[in-house]
This record gives sequence, structure tokens and C-alpha cells, in this order.
Amino acid sequence: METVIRVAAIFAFLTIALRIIGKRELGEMSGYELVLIILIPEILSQGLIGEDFSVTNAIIGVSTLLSLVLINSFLSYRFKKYRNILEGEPVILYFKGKLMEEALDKERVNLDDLLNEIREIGYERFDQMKWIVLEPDGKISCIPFSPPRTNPEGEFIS
Amino acid sequence: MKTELFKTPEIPPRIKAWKYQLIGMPLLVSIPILALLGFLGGTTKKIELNERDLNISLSYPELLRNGQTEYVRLKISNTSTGPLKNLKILLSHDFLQQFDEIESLPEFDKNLEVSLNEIPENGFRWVLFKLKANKIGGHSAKVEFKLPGQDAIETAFKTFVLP
Repeated sequence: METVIRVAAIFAFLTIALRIIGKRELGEMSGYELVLIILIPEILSQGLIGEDFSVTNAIIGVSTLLSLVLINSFLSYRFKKYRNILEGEPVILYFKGKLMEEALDKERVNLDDLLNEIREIGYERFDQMKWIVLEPDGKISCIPFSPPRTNPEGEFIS
Repeated sequence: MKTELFKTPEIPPRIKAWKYQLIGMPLLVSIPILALLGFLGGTTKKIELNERDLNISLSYPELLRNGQTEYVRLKISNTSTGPLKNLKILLSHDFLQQFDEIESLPEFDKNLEVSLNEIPENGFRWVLFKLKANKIGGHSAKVEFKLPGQDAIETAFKTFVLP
């Protein structure tokens, strides 16, 4: 019984905490974020299972975690509002010549990152973009005004 | 900023699942529910005994998980009109052998018996046996209460240790 409550509490805490730190941090791992990801399980493992190292307790812990993931996945599929709360919504960073400075500040996305994303899809300037969107999974989508030029092999030509 | 970019076609989401998921998901979710209801360890049971001059309340772990530490708790009350002397309590050795790190309060003597020198009139004493589950399976215990010159009062219980 204790394990179910421990796992549920830590799952809720982690879900909220990861939601708070933002999309960018989840999309790309920097050095310190990697350290976080390594350290968090170390700190939480004791809190999750206590001092009970039995097979039964391990099965209870894992099944509680998977059940919570399953329930969340059903709820977020069924209810859009729940999905938006849990996963967040896409954020527009650039639209038709205008950089959304407030959104860039709030999501801690710098212009170098944006240019990097633009170059990756075969473009070189902001004014070639119609939309730049930060997706809920932390990835940046760049939507150009016209399709990029590619060679017959499908590689981008700048 | 809300735009047409985020507009999705209107298809009402329905909850559906594959056959293997329809079987597997309830099974998966049932494990924490069973654990919350106490079917997967951590449950204790109580026995009440009222014999001769003793009222005994015994609580013991009914279901344990391997490696888990639990207690057999005894509250022994004197219901006679005078003090009770030299009460000995014995938890069967076969049962104790199934556990690790066995301790008792008051401490065992060399025969693994716990002795209570005196329980005053209308008084009571606690006896604790600390056990760490070590062997998986069902273990039967017998508890004896011996007063000098009298037949022993006996009770039994069973503990099951999960993997």
C-alpha cells in the first residue's frame, strides 16, 4: 500500500516539475540537464521503494507507474484541456517577419538556436520563414514560405 | 497567440484498445489496487484470547514480503484478583527459524522463551517479537503461555511470505 502511494506521489511531483522546467529543457539535453537526469533517479529511488527490496514490491512499483502512465495517456487522449495542461501547447516563436520576444524569453530560446533550426532545413534567414513553432515535445518546427530546394537525391541545396 | 496553424480536424476521440490491451491493461491496473487493498503484503491480523486469568491480544503479520521486517505484538492483561508471576511465552522454534534478525522485547532467554516476572492485578504487559522475512511461503506458528503449575494456554497463527 505504501509503495503505491510513494510511486503515485513521486510520479505526480515529477510530472509537475518537468512541466514547470519547460519544453526546451526536455527537447534537448545540455550537460547540466544530463546530470539532472542521472541524479534524479538516485535521489528518488529510496523514496520510491523505501527499504523493501522484494520482488513483489518491485512489481507493485512498476505496475503503479505504468498504470499512472496508462491512465494519463487515456485522459490526455480523451480530454484536450487535460492534454494541454499535462503536455503543454505549441508556442509560436516567429510569424511572418515578427519574432515573438515574450515567447522567446519565457521559453528561453535564443536566436542562435532558431537560426540553427532554420539552417537544418536548408534555409538561411528568418525572412524565408512563415512560422517557427516550439512544439510541446521541445522540438522546433520551421515552416518556410516555399519548399526548400533539394537535389535529385533529396538533399537540401542552400 | 492562437492561429489556424493549430486547428485540428474535429474527430471526437473514443477510448478503444487492442484485444491484448483489453486483457493486459486491467491486469496491470489491478496490481496497485490489490496492493492498496492489502492483498500483496503488509497486512496484520489480530487474535483475542480470554482464558483463565489472562486476556491476550495478539497481532501478527498475515502477509509479508520477503526481506520485510514486521512484529508479532502481544498485549497480555491480568484479569485475576492478584498479581501473576513467572509467565513464560514461547513462540515455536520452527516458526522462528524461517526468519532472520529475530529479536524480542523483553529479551529471549537461552531457550528462546520470554519471561514476564510479574503482571500486577488489572495490569498488562507488552511483548514484541521482531522478525525479518527470509523464506518464501507459508509458516505456521504456535504461541504458548505458561504459568507455573498450570497447563499452557496455546494459540496458533499462519504467516505467508511473498517473494
